[in-house]
Amino acid sequence: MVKMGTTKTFFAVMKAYCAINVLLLPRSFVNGGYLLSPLAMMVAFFFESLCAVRLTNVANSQGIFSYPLLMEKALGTKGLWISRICLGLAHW
Amino acid sequence: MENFSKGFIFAVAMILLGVLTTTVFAFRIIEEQDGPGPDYVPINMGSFYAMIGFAFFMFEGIGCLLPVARETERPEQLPIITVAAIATLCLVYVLFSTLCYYAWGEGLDQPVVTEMLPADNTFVQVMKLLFCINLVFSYPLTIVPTFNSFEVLLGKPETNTEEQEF
Repeated sequence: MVKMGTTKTFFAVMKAYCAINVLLLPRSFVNGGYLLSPLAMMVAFFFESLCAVRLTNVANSQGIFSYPLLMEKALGTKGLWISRICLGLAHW
Repeated sequence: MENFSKGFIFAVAMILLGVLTTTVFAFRIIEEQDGPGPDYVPINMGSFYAMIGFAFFMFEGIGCLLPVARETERPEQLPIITVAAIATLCLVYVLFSTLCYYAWGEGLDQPVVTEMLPADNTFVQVMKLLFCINLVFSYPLTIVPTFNSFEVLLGKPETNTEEQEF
């Protein structure tokens, strides 16, 4: 299978993060206000980026690209099952 | 998975169509009223906490990151690429939502911003219809990770090479 280059990977990640909730966000901006809402987005962006970078670094260093297997490596069998259940529930 | 990929592209195209259409209508409204909508405030003290939770919900794509990491040519570059992609999206989100809030102000009372567009406009009607079709594609995409997890619970072995999550 042909692997993705830099540009393709960039758009794949964009595609992964881009969801229909972009159309729900303007209403949330009304809730937050024009100053606080972008600030909240920046804070969320910071934490999300931190988590994403750490996750990809760990996956690369361990050569494991499956959430349950990564959790098993970190926390043992309990981690494996927690991950499976959370993954199932998160996408339900 | 190839079929899913086409469905995914269609879904993203529909979101883009919705964003572009709303942007055009928002600019028209701003031009008509010559300024911001009613009650355009920096901080809405009555409901700002709801926005904080929603901001984190906006970046829920981490579930797709490992499958992308598996398929990328140079995985060592992925952290930088990911930050660049999320930053770009964050910028688009902020610009689009600020524009909508500026245009409609407190009057933006519908959960989905496309509901603010004129219902009698043919283009808006077509866009909404395409969105309904989009849901048909989105449901299988959403249910695959759950289905895979359920399969493992039923005894299918966990692997590191197959695409098991999105």
